Amino acid sequence: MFFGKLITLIVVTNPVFGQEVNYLDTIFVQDEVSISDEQILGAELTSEQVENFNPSSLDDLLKLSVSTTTTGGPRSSSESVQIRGMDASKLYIYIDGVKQNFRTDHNTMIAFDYDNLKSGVIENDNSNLSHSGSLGGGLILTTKSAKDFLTSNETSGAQLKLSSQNSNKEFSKNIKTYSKLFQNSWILLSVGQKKADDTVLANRYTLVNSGYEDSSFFVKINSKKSEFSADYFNRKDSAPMNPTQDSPVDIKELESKNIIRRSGLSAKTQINKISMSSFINVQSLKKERQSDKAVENRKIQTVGANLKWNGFVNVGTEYVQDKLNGDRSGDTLESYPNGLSQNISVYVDKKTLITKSFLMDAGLKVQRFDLENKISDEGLSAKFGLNYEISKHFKTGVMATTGFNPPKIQEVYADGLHHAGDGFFIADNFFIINENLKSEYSKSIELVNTFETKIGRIGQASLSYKRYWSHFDNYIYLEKIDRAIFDGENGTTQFVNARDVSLNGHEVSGSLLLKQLELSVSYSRIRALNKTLALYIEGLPADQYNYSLTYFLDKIDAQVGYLGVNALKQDRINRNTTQRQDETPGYFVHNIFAKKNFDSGYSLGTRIDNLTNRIYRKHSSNIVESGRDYKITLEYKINI
Amino acid sequence: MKTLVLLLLTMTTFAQIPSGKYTLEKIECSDGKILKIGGKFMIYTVTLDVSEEKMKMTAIAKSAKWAPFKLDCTQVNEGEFKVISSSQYEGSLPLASVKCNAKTWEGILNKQHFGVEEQGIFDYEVTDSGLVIFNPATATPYSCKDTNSYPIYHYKR
Repeated sequence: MFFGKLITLIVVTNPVFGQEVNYLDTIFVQDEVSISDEQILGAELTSEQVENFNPSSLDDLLKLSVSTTTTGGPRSSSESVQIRGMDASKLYIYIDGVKQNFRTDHNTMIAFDYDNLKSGVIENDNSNLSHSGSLGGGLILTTKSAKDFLTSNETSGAQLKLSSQNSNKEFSKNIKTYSKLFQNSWILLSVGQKKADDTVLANRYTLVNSGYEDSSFFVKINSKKSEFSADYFNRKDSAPMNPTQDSPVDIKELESKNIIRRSGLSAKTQINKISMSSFINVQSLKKERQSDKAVENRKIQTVGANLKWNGFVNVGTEYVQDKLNGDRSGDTLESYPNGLSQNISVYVDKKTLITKSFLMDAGLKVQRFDLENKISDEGLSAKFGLNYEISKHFKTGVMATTGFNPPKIQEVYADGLHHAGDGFFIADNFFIINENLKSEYSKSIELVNTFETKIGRIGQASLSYKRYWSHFDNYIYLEKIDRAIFDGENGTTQFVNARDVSLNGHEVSGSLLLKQLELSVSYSRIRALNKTLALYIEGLPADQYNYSLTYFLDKIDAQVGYLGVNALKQDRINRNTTQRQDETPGYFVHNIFAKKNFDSGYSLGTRIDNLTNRIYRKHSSNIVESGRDYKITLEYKINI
Repeated sequence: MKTLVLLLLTMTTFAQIPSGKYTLEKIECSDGKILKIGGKFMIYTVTLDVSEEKMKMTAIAKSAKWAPFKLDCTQVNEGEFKVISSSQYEGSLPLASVKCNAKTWEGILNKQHFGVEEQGIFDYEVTDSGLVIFNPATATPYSCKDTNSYPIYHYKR
């Protein structure tokens, strides 16, 4: 009802809807794609890729990069980002500079409407010193602005977008309106709704309790030097207490009705060489257990501010405060205790052209972390990188970085019953506080070699090879010890440090850009070991190839494309333990997409995921993925 | 001669335990409390193979597909028995083997055995649906010992 009224308000107040319609030639707002030297170590998810692929979830989006994926299975409520084998608790996630810190045992979904997504950057290491709280990079998402929908001559418009996909009968509608406010400032308003049923998996099994209902609201006002945004997302679903598992619906203790909600406000401005921003972001998860109607609430409020001076050197500071609240029907929630943490960092960095072809990038960051005024720690991070242009075709570079990732409140203070035993064989299992939990440190080095050449007048080819090594001290992991009742002792769950963990990997990618064709092949391989325990790091992704092709039919203003994901067998599991992870067979999944823009302001997009209905399961998931999935999107845009 | 005939007659009138495969239905303490076998994450399957004067109990404890941990243990107890009256047999059911996916759990089960019985006298009853066995002096009382009772195994055929 509220969103219906809001849509009406947007329609009524926007001057576009009162005007006679003039059909204009379709004009694309071209994105300035620039791969900076910083980003040579990461990957960019361009606005064109996002527009063509039209992701509706994080998992959809991260298919576009070979070194990223999501863990947690096919329910979107259980998605958790993984970059180069590192999970969400070891990465930072920002949306328009707003830090997303919601992390729980089984729910780490970024509560965000992907219809508002413009582009993304995957940072693979800690060379971006303005971001904190990571062992190796993170995910940076940027939302759309009004100017992304308009050409230089246009001042306002609106877009209606309807999407449907068949695997879960998801139907989504989004309306955006955008307009010039006053000189050089613009406003974008977006309202969205989405409804999905249970997903039909590739083995024709319906994954019960995987449906959801989403609603979102987003407003962004920006000018040449400032930006203000407000973002709201709400999801209702009945995913199980642990949404990564497919538990039977008759075990009511494991069934739940949930509400995930996020609201955020952010403001940024730039005055001469100084840029500053501040934000507040609140994400909450409410679970109502179906056996006894006990309600669990988890909430995190993140407040932050950034200041940066881009002078002879770049100097900056970031402050982030997290306030956690957890309760079960008014009592303490064992896995999500109340608490306050603060993190402040100050950094300086500088890129220097030593010669025309030799770039040096160095920086230093000091971070101080405080948890509940009881635990504090300081970390020093550094980066040193060299990029050398050997010839106009060949570049080589090396970047060494260190990272500092303090423990989360819930990792230190989780306390109480984790799960009951069965009264027969398995004993109860309890969380144990660990006030001695140390911050994690990383030392990484990455070598990058790229080769680029023009192919006459028809195109460009490039090849890149990345090799990286990381070593982690005090790597935080969950140590779960289950016991038998007749042991006379309960089982325990505690976050602990592993002294010695190492990770290394390779990434190779080649691309061919012709006038109307883009082809790329990329490969990623990651290995990581907990040397202290002589165990593989659990849940590492399989070696994977991505194949991508996009063909531009400029004469009819259309594109068609293909994305192939070929994951090899992943059998690096710890067999002599009680870890849940099973060996995963390899798979090759084919996806195709097409998009056509019409002169009348309409555009039609289709996508078919898992074209051959391959039955497959991603590693670090216990559930098979969706079957063949048809998606159709209809957009109508009208600008003046 | 008469004594021999009487002895033979007495022996043939004891109800033998029918050979076959039995599945454990429930374990009941002698005070009436039923031990819940299995829970939201664990599935237990216990079978008893009875052949002429031999018994083999196979107990499988396996975590459900949706459990957050993976446990798969198989314990085998094997022993001999001899019927000594219409409702009792003498025998034992010692541990023969334990195998788990995780070595730590093999260690646990090697210390505390499920259904392991030392040499003793057991009461039994053959019912229409299966078999009931108990030993008040059992070596594995489970939580029945909390109420000074002992477990009674109910098997179905």
